[in-house]
Amino acid sequence: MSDADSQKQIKLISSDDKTFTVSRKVISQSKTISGFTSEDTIPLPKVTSAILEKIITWCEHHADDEPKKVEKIEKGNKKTVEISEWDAEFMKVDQGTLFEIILAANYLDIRGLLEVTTQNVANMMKGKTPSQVRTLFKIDNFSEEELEAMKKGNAWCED
Amino acid sequence: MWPRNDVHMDDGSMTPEDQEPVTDNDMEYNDNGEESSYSNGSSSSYNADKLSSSRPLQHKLDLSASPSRNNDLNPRVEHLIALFKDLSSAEQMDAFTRLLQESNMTNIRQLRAIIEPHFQRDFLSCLPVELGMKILHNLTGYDLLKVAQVSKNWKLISEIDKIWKSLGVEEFKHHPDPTDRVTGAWQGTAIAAGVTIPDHIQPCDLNVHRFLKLQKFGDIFERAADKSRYLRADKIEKNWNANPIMGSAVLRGHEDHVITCMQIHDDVLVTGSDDNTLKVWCIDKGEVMYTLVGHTGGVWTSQISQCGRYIVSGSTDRTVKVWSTVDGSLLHTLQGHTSTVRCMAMAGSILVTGSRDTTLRVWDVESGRHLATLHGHHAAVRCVQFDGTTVVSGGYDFTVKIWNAHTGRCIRTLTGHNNRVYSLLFESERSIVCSGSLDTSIRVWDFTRPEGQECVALLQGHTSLTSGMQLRGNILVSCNADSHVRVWDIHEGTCVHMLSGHRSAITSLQWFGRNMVATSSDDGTVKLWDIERGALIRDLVTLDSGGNGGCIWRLCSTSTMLACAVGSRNNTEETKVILLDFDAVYP
Repeated sequence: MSDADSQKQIKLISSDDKTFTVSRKVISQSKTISGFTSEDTIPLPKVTSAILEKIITWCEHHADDEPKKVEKIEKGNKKTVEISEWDAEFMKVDQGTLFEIILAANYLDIRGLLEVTTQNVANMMKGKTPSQVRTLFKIDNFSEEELEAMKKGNAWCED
Repeated sequence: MWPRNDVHMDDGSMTPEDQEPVTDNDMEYNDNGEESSYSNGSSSSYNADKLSSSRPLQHKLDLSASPSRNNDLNPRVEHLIALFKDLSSAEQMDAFTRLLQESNMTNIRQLRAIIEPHFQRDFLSCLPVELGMKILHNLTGYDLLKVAQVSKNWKLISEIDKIWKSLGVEEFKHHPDPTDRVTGAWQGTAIAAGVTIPDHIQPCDLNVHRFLKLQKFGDIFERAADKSRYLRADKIEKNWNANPIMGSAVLRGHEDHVITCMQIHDDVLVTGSDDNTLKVWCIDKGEVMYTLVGHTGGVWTSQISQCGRYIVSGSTDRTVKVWSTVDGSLLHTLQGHTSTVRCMAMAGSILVTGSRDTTLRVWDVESGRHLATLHGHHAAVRCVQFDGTTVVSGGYDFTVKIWNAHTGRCIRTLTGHNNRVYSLLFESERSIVCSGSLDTSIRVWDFTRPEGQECVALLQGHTSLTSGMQLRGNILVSCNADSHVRVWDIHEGTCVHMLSGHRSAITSLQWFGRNMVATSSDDGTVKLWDIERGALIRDLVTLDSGGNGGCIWRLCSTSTMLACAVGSRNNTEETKVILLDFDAVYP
């Protein structure tokens, strides 16, 4: 993409009909949008304005990131990937918002954002008991029998 | 912030009650054609395609949270709600704020319980499966096991094989299939007068365990094979580290004689003895298959070929014999050495033997042909290693020699030890040789360096001869006649841990798993160590006669079984092999 192209502005229209103007360079992190090479206005019927605003904020901050060609190192410690301070702050939102950011990042195909948000959810699960996880994510409405059955089905990991 | 038209928020969470049973990875969500609304006040049409709204749940929630709805409609409340609906979003927010100020804490707490779920999300159940999997790819096996206990949906997603395959822990895929180990000698145990196996399962519990042991492939294996493999590997490791020992056996043979050498290949155990014979045992059946008779002197060294078809033995009768594992028949007698055959090493079907006659000889065990004789040592050859091309030998002349097996030429002589060399390690890929000597030191050599500069590390601290070593990466573990195990960093040339606990010479060492080392000793014990923490895990075998002549001569293991050769030189302990089982089934 030439410099002239990267400076071009593009209009994104959220599902609730709000218009956001961003440079192509910023939004080129979305492979979905990058595919619209000749459009100046792109409707995004699956993304609300509140979420789209968050997406654009993230993309603006990461606009100058080097492409991550380096895959996660495959070794025993691969599960402790660090999340940057800025990203950690960015993801201090309620779970409903985080949920929608994940869906939007997937729909817009923004790989880095999808990686960091799914990693964040995984980090919420790490080191917790099943009961703590249920409380954290509001998973309830189980009978005692169901809880016992689930525990029994995984009894091996207790001994 | 809040929508004008609908104050009944639906958080969109699904619970197992709403789910149809899932039979494959492509889960279909119920689509009631209704848009869901979310806490941020906006609707997203794509969610209707992906999520299932739980209208019944919403009603249930409302009813439990608002008892007054069960009563007759209150006209004053209805009027208030009608007014509220007419307000703008900003006005509604103002009204909320002021209403809260007018509410008591009991009602505010109740409000929190109503509001909080709007900010929570059951990610794994509500996201498309491929995104749920993306989340789970970040977890360890241990966390995945916890996740499976959270709900039915979470269990289903967490058991998808692709997630377990991506753990990157290759070890757990390498265990052979579960074993029997309930017949023959396994029908008894190794617990006996004079033999203590701490943590052994009680005899009255053995029958149930033996029955369960035959159920080798359980429910989890059928629905989630890779999770099952992970669980089995984890169980096997716990069986070594902490769990009761669930099976043991005694193999009796070589009565009143010393077991001088012992090897395992798959399910075959071979023991050699100074009674001039070798015995070939089937481990899983707990019985002897053949006794190899033919040597006219004690057997002092043996090997099983990598292909498992040949057993090779060296003896004080100066001969090397090649036997078939298929039927125990003698295939070849290799003659040429003029004194005791003391050590040997094999690569493929090529065998190198070292002898008290100061030479090494190279043989083809398939044809029985003698290929080369390596002259150069000035005293007995005590240890040898071979990678198929390069021979490394250590001797009583204090030297380590590097040879070309094909030409018979000595490429390099490594000098520096000032007493006999007793043990060797050769890592071909890095041209690294480690040698242990009666001079108490271990030397690390790189024989690609200029002559005279090959010694890259001098490891000092042991106070007697080193009887065994194993190397992985830069970590070397050594066992010594001084009763200590030491863990070294060969790159730094430093001792990382010294493991004390044995009371006399250590005879054998075996490193398996990630950080577990088993050692056998003249003190009559087998101990299991964690070399990462530098600590004893536990005693595996203890002889009452230890300290009075009872000793453990040799030890070897597979990933699920340990064998130790037991006896004494003064008849205080009968000669036998004790087997311990650490295997597990696929759950």
